[in-house]
Amino acid sequence: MIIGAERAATRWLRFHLDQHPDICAPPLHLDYFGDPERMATLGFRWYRRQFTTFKGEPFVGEASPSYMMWKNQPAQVARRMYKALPDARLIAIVRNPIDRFTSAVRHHIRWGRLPQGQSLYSMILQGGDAFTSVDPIGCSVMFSSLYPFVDRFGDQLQLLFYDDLVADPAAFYRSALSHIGASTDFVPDGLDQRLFSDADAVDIEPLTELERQIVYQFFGPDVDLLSDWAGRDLTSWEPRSVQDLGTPDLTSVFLSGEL
Amino acid sequence: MSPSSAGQAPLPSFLVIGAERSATRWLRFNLDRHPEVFSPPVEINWFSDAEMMRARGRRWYQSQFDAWEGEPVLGESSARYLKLASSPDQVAARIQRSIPDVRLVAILRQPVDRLESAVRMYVKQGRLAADVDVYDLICRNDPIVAELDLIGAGLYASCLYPFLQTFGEQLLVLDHADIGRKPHEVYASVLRHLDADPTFVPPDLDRVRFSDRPTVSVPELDDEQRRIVYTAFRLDVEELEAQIGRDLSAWDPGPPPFDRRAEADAVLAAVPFTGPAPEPGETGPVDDDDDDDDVVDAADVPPITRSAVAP
Repeated sequence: MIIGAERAATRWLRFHLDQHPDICAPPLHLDYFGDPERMATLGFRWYRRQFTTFKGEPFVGEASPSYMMWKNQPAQVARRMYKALPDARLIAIVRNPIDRFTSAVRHHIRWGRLPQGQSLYSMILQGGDAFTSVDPIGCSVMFSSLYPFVDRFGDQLQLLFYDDLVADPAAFYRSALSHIGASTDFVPDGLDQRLFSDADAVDIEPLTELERQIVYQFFGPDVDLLSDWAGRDLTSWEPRSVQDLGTPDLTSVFLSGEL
Repeated sequence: MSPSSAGQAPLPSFLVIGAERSATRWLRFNLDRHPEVFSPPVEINWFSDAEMMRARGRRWYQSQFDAWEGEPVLGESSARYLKLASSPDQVAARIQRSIPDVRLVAILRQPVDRLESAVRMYVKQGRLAADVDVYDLICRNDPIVAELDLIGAGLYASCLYPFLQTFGEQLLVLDHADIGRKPHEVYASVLRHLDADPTFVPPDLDRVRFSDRPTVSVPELDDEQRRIVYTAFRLDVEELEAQIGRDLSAWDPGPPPFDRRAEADAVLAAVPFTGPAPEPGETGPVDDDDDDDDVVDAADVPPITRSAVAP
């Protein structure tokens, strides 16, 4: 079960896992455990019947980044998932929160859910219903969305870093395989090709260095927790410090839209 | 050679599986003109119709090839094999059971163009009114949209997936746009895929298209409507690009206008499930577990072992 994060190569991983002879991971986009209404109206038997191309592979899975979205209440999602699939192996991919945020905004512009022609920073400041409903900020608060799954699934959850995928796709793929339990000697074609990217399709004015620094303060505490918990140095995610910002109360700043 | 001296035809060595409204007739017609190829002129739509398969049996299917005169390459074209409404996973499984070594050809067309062409066809057949407002039908999720598989038949990644899983390299995927741009190249690539002489060129290959456009006039989608309707296909096309390793960004008409996002949401609501529908009476338990064992303190998070963290 690949649970997220959104815009962190979850589809890339699912697509390539599906190429493995022992893995069935069809492109289903089920978004099941994140949506209690869907669970109630369709049911778990329906969920299980969706894997129609299953041919007896020992490992079966899906990818739904919505499972790790803050707006879907990950604690609830993890609880529902654990009830149905207590033995599942989970994979979460995390990524520099600002890059992830930028990619998400591009993605939503492409779908017409966010307006074109505005700078990223002005979108953050303006907020609004459309922005809140796709929640590109909340989806970048990754550790807080992740730990309910750790609480339920413990070592059954594997944490992967998008940076490692960029650096060495084959090693990244192998580590996912070994967590699932599939043989690691299979290498699919085209692992180094970028898939599902919106980068070329949407032109957007990026954050300036100062803006990055300001916005990162919102994600910083979450990244610190992630770094401590995973035992991994994530200082490379921190933007260059271009100005002493002091210690503003960013939560209220973001909520009030003043800056 | 007369049909009788050739004996009963073997099972097809190739199938053109769709998509509907994507020049499959052009391909079948021109394949049949090849001296090494035989392909009957009607769509049999056999493997997509379990009831017909049961009722008529395989002998009937093979009798559709009675005019065969011993050509080494034999096949048929049935655009329903790739339609979502036909449950392509079952179609692929049935084909594999009957003719596991078959070569398959699929032609894919920009899905909004395909949809509009399907609308013209259904107007011509009288199943849609001549003044049909297809945009309105989709936004209202009118039952006719699902009934005619107007969106589902364009969800190519979902429909192709079982064929790719089952047949792999036996399946050749073509882009409809290439037929207009370079018909000879496309035709030769199909011949190579079917092991027929690729140097043969039928006359007028680039002329006959079987288009309904000159005979049926239906109001067309405007540019903004096209962008909004494309929302139904965007995710599927992204998946398709990965599946067949091809850049299909030329299909993308651009983002739907932000101020019409409610319409884009309505279009998304009209996209059919690509998997099996719920069975009658099949529902899940209501998620009413509101005990507060969900509340997790960060300090209680168990340590994760090093092996579970990526290098």
